[in-house]
Amino acid sequence: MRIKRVLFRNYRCFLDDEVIFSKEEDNKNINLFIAPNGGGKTEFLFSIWWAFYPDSLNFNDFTGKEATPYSLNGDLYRQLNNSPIGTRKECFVEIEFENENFTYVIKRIETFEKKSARKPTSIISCSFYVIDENGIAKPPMSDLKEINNNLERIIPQKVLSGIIFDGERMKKISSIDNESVKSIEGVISDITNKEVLISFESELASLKSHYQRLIKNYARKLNSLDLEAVAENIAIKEKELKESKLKIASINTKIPPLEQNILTISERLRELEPSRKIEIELVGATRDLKHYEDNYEKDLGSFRSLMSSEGAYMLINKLTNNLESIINNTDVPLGLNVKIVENILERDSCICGNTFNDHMRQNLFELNKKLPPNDINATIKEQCKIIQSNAKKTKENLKKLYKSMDENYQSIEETKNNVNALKTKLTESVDNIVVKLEVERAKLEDKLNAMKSEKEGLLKKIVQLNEELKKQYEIQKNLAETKAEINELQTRKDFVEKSLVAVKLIQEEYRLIALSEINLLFKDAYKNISEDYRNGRRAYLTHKLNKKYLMLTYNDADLYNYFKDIKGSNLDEDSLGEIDENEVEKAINEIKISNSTGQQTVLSLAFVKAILDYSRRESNIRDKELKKVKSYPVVIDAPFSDLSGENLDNAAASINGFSEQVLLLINNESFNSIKENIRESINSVHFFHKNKEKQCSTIEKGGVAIG
Amino acid sequence: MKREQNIIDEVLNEQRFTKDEMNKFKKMLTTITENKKYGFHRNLKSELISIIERDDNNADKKGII
Repeated sequence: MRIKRVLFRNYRCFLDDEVIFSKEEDNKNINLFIAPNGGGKTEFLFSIWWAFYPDSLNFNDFTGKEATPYSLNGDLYRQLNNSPIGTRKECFVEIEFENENFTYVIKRIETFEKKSARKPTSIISCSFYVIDENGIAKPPMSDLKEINNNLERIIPQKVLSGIIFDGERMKKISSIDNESVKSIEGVISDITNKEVLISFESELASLKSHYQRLIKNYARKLNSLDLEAVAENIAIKEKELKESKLKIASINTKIPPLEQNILTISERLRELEPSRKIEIELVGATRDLKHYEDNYEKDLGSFRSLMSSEGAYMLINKLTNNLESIINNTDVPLGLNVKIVENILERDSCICGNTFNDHMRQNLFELNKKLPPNDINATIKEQCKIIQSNAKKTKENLKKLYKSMDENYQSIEETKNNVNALKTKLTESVDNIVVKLEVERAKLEDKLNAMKSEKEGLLKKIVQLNEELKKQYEIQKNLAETKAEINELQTRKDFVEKSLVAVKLIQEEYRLIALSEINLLFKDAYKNISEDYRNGRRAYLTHKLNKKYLMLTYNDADLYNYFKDIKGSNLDEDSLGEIDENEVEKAINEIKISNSTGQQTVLSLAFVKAILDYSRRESNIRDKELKKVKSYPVVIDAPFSDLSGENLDNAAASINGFSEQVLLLINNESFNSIKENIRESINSVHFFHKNKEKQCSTIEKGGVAIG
Repeated sequence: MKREQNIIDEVLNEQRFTKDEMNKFKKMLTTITENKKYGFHRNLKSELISIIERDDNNADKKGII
């Protein structure tokens, strides 16, 4: 990565400034920023930080150098604070930089607005776009998350602690405290590409959960359906199906003979039908004969009874006829009787008008004496008529009876002849046989119907069983598939777990190897910068004990003596290098020595050089997945202020080796003290001019040929 | 210091990874590395699952790999 241009507008002490970096070539890679104290060196340094990761920068940390803890220039902020509500002010830092043949432009803007009587509020926004290797600009991004993701890939926030330093941070990194450990760890985790392995571990953990969840879901499904119960159910139903089919087969063998029997019986019954008809006719004729005979007997009985009761009428009928004739011949006017005569005698004249005389009266008396008792003739006649009538009726009844008897007799004769004729026709009695056959046929038909009904029921049952079995087979199949799926998922989960273990081991192995390499580079850098190295002072970056990163110094002789005490007097210089690194680290931790401020600065510079060297060199690790070669610019503010003598010369002489692009911010005095050491490496010089009235600084590009 | 080390192969061999498992592990790591570097895979998890669930045995038999 290389910074190409930085543009300021209203940012802190830079109201309208731009710094353009010319390409670093011919080992000229130091871009020098010379400024008086309070001239804006630190502001410039942290403007780069702010442009990339504003949230991780707190202006309150350096309020001593700027009156306001805001990105907006102090004067402008105060003006805004006194402005009417609704007034806005904006500041930004725009950085153009290149990385792996792509050019990026990031513009961090903070807009302040006086919204109320209170202090102005602000919103930070960002514009970020990429120009590819063909010079084609891609659409700018404004989504902060997307911008951050891209920035993290190019220049992770953690690495800023390793490439942007002011004096205070330089001291912090070499001090033995948690903040130092954290910042070293951040830088190391990035340059050793640890983030990839951490990401891998995190993804694997997520995959493990994913497979665990799937297995759980499948297991739940499996538990709700007991495979054994399903198999048992299938076995029962298959048995039932088999039995039903066997029954149907059995019924199928029984039905045809049964039907044949019924058919035979029916045929036999058909054969017997004519005889059956004759027999039925004979029964009818016999019944009729009996009927006629009964009627005849009944008529005969009636005739006898009539004769005994009414026969006398027939006998006296002649007599009464004679009697009636006599009466009819007697000269007594019809209807004349004693009473009538007496009635006539009571009158004075006759009905003919003649007056009765005595004689006539006497005659009438005489006549009256001769007259039969009152209406005897009529009575006799009446009786005769009754008798005659009865005789007539009796005669008629007798005639009827006789006729009926005659008719019955005729019918009896005819029927007798018929019966005899039928009896002659009917050779045998079939009635019993037919009844028997019909009963047998009915029984057989009942049996046949029962069988057919049973068969129908069985067929329905078979259909039902088949459907149920189909379902059960489906369930069984699903369960088997689920089991197979669980096994498959378990295999995958096992692989993920195995991978998790491997990733952790790789992480640790890689960390140790990378740290060993960094440690060698650290020791090397310390050797080149520190004047105390000559006196046996050594630097070491701890990384094994509790995985804590600390920069320690120790005396080489103390380490030798430490192990000599343990190992005995046989220990020589060569065998010291063979001692286990854990033991060495433990020993160094015990024999560490404190550092002066200058020595701490030397240590920090050695560390910065070591990590920058590590990040841009080809690692000894061959795994392409873990290789990460990155080059970062280094931005250092006043690194030499606490150095003097050989330390200062060495640091200044080595500063061009820190990175392909070095942004060195120093004051005039410091520059004068090191200019001979860096002269050959200067690429550009920029002067910061402080404007006390306006509380701002301006940046001016100067000539390279200085001093 | 060890020289020219293949840490991944060493660890995977120690952990008795099969050839298929090694391939899958490395493919996953490459995918994550590319994702870190270029932000390729929007759905990284799906990508990793597809690597895990790819049947390399069959692929080998079919001559794909």
